Amino acid sequence: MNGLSTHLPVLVKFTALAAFAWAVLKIVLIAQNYGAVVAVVFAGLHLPLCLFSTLFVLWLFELHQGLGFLALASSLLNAVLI
Amino acid sequence: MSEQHLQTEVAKQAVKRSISVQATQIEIMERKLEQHKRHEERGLLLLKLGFLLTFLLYLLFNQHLYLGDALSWSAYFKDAASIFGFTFTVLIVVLMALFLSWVKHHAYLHFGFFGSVALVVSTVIGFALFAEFFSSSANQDVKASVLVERNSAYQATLNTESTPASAMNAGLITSIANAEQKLARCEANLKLGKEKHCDGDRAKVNALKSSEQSANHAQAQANIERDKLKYARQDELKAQSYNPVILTLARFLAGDGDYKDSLKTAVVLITLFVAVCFEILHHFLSKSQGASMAAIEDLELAIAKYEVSPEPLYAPSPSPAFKTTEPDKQPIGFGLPPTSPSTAQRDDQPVLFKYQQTGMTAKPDTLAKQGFIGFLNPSTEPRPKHLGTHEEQLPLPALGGFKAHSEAETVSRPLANGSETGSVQNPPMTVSEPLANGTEGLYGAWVSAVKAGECLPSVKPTWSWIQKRIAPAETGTQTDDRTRISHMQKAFFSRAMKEGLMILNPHYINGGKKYLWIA
Repeated sequence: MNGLSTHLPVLVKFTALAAFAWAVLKIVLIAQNYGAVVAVVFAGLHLPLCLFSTLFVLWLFELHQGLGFLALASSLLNAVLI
Repeated sequence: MSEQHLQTEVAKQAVKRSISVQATQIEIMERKLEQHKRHEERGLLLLKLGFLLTFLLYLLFNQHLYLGDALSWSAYFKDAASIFGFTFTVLIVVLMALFLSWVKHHAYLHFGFFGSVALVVSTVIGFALFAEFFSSSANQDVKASVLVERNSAYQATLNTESTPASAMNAGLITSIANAEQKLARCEANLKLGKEKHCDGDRAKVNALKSSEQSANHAQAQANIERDKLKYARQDELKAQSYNPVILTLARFLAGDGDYKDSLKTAVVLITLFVAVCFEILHHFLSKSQGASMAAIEDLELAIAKYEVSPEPLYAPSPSPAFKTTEPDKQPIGFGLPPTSPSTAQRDDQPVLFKYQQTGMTAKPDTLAKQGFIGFLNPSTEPRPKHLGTHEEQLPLPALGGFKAHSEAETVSRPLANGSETGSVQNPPMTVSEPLANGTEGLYGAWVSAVKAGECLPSVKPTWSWIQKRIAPAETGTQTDDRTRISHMQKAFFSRAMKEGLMILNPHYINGGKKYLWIA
């Protein structure tokens, strides 16, 4: 139980970071294949929202786990919607 | 002499211990203050990021609403009047987005400090949600269009041309021409009397023309079917250009039907979920910001009082469990900060405990002599054990006690009997003999239980320990007095920290021990 409470925040933060990294990678690949303008269109507001949710998870998950999980879901969803 | 020396040593050790506890408490509070400041800075940064995001969302919304798709903007640059109108509209769009996002940002900051107003919350959040999922869904459609335009399979369907009917029926047309030529010769010979009739040639021409009509009809049907397949393929490719998450939700929503009809619904639902997540997090940040600021102010005030006071005034209360800043949730119990009473108090009178009546109050010097801090007076005699050590329901009086009696009511002896109702004889409440039982009461029993290892000095075990004694017949969430038990648990911890029995764990991490028993 103690191990779970220690490792769970790390896993959640890592997942949120991975989601954001994946989102950035997708935008970079789109920019390479289709150009910067298309990349901006694809990034839209999902990339900033993904950044917002990821920062929320990284900074506030340990204090507010419930909303932290919601932010993680938002981060993942915005990353896959790009 | 040795006994006096021993007493001096014990007193010195007590003073050292008190100073050590005070120093530890100040150190813990300063550390908590740093944490709260960092938390407040991060919250403020996230709020600013939320403000920027809101501005961009409103900008996109206004752009779609007032200016349309960017690909159509070239029409605005034909003459000077159009350019002026377009520039003016762009200015309105930008200013409106800035105003709306600023109002929302200000409203969220206002909610954090002064509480929310239902009408403002519903207006701000409702409009923000609408704008967010409007612009997000439009963005999904634009992305699908960009992908499908760059899809080679889709381009191939656009370039496919149907085969002309003349090319398909070239042989048949030649045969019809030859048959008609023969028929014309036959008819000419028939007029000269060289032929008896031309029925055979005429039948051949008719048969060939019928074949041509059938072939043309078949060709038209083939073209229609091919066009249907082409359009279906184009629709499929357009649908496939949407995000896989949207496709999955659309298939789920469609069930056995055509998932392409549910694509727009799926887009709206997903973008609405994203917008709701953002609004919840954004709104929470405003609350978090207000709580952080209040906690920082409380801690700074507490540290200032600790540094001025020669002895600890009260235990540190930076823990969010106490929530001293919420006016409707005032903490009760031992040694909590007297700086946040819910009602005005005179300086020369002590802050009363929730269940302490005005009549129970005594002069502060008397209380100080008795060491009376909370609702337990250590100097009083213990109550009989059959009365218990906590608030218990007294037995109901016999029904005979309520019998009408023939005593005449007089001014000096009213029948109503004042505040003393029934036949229950409540023991008189005095300062020297309060109803609450001093260290022999529930707190003392809890301390003994912790020392004996029967109860862990943690929140949940202590809560359960109190619950078994306050409401043993109720369990878990069925307990009516959950809030009261929580307040008692916090009061026990607060008093134990004040008495130096336990401290906040300086190396506390989430999931670890928050309190350390040092007695």
